[in-house]
Amino acid sequence: MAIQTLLIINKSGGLIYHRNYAGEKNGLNSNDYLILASTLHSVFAIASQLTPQAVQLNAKRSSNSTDNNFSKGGEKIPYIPYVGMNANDSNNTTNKLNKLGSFMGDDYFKESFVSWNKGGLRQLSTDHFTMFIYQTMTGMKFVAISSSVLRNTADPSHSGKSNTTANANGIQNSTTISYSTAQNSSSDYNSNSSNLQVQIADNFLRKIYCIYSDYVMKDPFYSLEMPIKSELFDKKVKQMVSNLE
Amino acid sequence: MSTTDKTSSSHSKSLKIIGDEIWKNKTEKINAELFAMTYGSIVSQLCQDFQRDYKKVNDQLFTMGYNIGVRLIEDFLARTAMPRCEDMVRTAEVISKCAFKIFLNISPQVSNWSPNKEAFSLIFPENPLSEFVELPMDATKDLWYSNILCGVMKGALEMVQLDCDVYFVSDVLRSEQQTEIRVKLNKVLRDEIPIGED
Amino acid sequence: MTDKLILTGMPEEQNVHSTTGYEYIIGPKQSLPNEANAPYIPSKIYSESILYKKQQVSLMSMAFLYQELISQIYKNSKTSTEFETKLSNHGSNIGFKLLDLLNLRASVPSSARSSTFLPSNASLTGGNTGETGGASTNTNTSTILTGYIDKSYESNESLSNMISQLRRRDLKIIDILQFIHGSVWSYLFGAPSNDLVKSSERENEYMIVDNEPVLTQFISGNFSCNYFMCGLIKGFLSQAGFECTVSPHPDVDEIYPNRVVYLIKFEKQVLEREALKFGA
Repeated sequence: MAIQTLLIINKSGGLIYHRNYAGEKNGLNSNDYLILASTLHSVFAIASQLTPQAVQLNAKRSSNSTDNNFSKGGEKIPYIPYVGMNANDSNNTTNKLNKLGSFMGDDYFKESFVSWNKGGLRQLSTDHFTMFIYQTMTGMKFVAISSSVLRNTADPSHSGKSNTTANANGIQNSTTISYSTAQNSSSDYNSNSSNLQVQIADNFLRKIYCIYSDYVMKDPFYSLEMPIKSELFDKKVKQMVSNLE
Repeated sequence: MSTTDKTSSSHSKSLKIIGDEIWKNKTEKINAELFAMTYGSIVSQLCQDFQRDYKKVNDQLFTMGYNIGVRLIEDFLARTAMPRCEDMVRTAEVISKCAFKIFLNISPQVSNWSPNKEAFSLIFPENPLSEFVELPMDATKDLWYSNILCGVMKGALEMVQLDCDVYFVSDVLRSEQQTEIRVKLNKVLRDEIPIGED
Repeated sequence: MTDKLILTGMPEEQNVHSTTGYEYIIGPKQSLPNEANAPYIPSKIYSESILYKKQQVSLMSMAFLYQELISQIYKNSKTSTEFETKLSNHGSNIGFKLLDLLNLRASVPSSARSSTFLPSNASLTGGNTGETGGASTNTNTSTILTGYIDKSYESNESLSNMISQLRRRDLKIIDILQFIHGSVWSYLFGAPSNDLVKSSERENEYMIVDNEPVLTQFISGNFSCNYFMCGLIKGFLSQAGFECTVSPHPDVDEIYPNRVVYLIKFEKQVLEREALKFGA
């Protein structure tokens, strides 16, 4: 899943970070991004009003049935191993360059988690791109725009790439997992694959949130709610985006 | 009622497991003495700056804590992906068993609930901030040495839409029996809960 | 009486009962006479071991505290020099203390390091002979240690008996820098610093290299934030009689975007003293 664009929107709907990773220009200027951010913020709110009551009730009922700590409503996102991590690096545990700031180990987290975003917009699909939104409990939004179009996930070139990048250590990159899991449940291929895309995106965006909590929140020269200028944050995010490709 | 109690106790048990596991395996650590000495240097500098007006020192420590709390909450949430707590009973458990565990490797005891279950105390058997501290005589009456903790909790709780009062009740540094911080919910800031969460 | 003065760890029970007079052990009473009902609880710090217990807090807690410290100093400083001085002073406060603390801890025989200063079984008392210091002082110490243990005070700790065994203070520039590069860094960050270099151009300049400075690793592009560690190094050295100035210099590349070189410039008299004492 290639990330074209990453946006971070503060709780008031202000754009505090945007980066375009696609090579070619997409014709949006900084002002366009600001408008996009505040529009998304509004659409997100409207969408949550539109979410059918039945869906919400369903979520609540299913949460009661599981005797699990993470069961207070909301969808449970499975942990997808090493999304956005450098597979080559994680082989080498002694490699100091692989350190994840204040996060110990070779991945930012390793357990499934519940999305705080229950009734809002989570995914927007078009013929040209897919947009994923991860909202935090404090009201921030991490938005990823991916070039992958959900209808085309069965593209054979996709699986070919996956096979070559799977490594001997059992650590697989995200595309491999996407493919193999989808293959296992052939009954409803498209909806399953779409679901998996959202899960990969949620894993990825939570990691961006982790990087944000280190390199933005622990930077004394950052003012809350204001645009992010940290070069270290830039670097770490870019690294993770390029690992996803 | 009994079923509620039962579920909440089973929850708090798993919260302990979550907190311990994240502390042990997912958190980079640093020498607690460096941390204590750095904080000590900050407090002693403030005492000097405010000419030993300890009430002003308390306020400044609280403000610094607040500034930390509104940032620290993002670290806590990114690290734990903790779902929203349905009541203060659970909030207290999360603070004690997860937040304090993960950040300071301690689990203060939750006690002294108010009848409406909206105010509680945290009792600290140990406090990494005051590990080597003895207060000067003139400070024992007014200074709350670890007041930064109250500010941190105030700021962090406010960011998850819980407007609370957080203050020291007693501190062993002042020759009192125990170190106790009171947390009292004023109101849930419902209007500020992010749209889409409920 | 002498025993009592040596024993820093007084059993707490003895002090709890409230008295009206001045207690020489615990100092003046800390409350007014009409508030004196509550029993006085003596501070625990005197009864606790001075040995490193290897307690830890999260890196996040330290990073957030450091972040707020810098942000406050930055807000209250009019010039960059003022900012650097204030931040450096906080580090110096710690450096002062570390000189004594770490030298003392380095003196404790490793066999006794588990929980108390003094070994609780007599066999350990002879074990150190010939390892540290001159032979005569060691015999002396052993006698004291044995005598001490005979009095069955195993649970208490005394520093006074350790004095003759203390690690000799570092007198040469290179020795004390090695101590900072090795012991101080390991104590603070769990590993020695990445390099200790002598300037090839100037006689009085040395450099300590840190590839990934722990405290400033989350801060982008502001090297002044490293003045805390500069202050710590300076505090440690000055307290030991090695007057100097310390400043941070970036040495960044793709792999280490935060690498810092702490440049230590010793005062002239430090070099002169060393030349007189040890020859040029």
